[in-house]
Amino acid sequence: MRQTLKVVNGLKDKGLINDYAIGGGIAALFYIEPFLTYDLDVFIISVERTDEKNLIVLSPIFDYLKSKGYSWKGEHIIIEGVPVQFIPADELEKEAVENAKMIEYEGIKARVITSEYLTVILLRAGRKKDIEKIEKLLEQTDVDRTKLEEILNKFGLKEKFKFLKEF
Amino acid sequence: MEEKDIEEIKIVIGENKIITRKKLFEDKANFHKEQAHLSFEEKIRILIKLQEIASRIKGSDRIIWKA
Repeated sequence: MRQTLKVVNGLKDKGLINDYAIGGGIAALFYIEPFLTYDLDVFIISVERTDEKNLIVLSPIFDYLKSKGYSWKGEHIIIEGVPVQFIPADELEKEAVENAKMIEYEGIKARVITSEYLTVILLRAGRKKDIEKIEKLLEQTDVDRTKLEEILNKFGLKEKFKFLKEF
Repeated sequence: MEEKDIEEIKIVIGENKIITRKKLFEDKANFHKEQAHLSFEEKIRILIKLQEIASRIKGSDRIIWKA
């Protein structure tokens, strides 16, 4: 994991991405009690590259990682023994990356999505496992309710959150 | 029986230690909160152990992380 984070930081240093933040299960794990998960989701703000079909082109990142000897397994690229999924950030996730929290893991700096943005991203995904994580985030960590409400309002998810809280 | 009464039911645990149902569930909630406040490094160590256990039980071909 330490080496994996070094490689991900390197992508930014080399200008292959503009910024990144850890999201998904590992971001949740940062805030809540340990649980089983297998992949490291990394939301990226990519250097704008779209092809003629308006597809987001991440090939420079993958070409670089391939040149370093990292290989694919399914949807993941295995970086120093950790399956990593790079997810180009949409509007909500972009804001989450821009407001991410700087952390340290064994002396390596990394960026993690805040608990407020993570809650909203999980709510939008809305699968059972996402809802379970939201419940734990609200129970086990200090989620800034004012900030959370701001984000929910901005991205039109306040009603969905209210609905969740009623159950 | 009212909810308040149910909460006050006493349970004998361990070596004659008596606690109420309410206290039992409060302790459980506190334990989970304590786990949430472990360091990130410790949580990743636990995650890797969980991956190893799951792999032994399920024989999964999922990758077990390197620390």
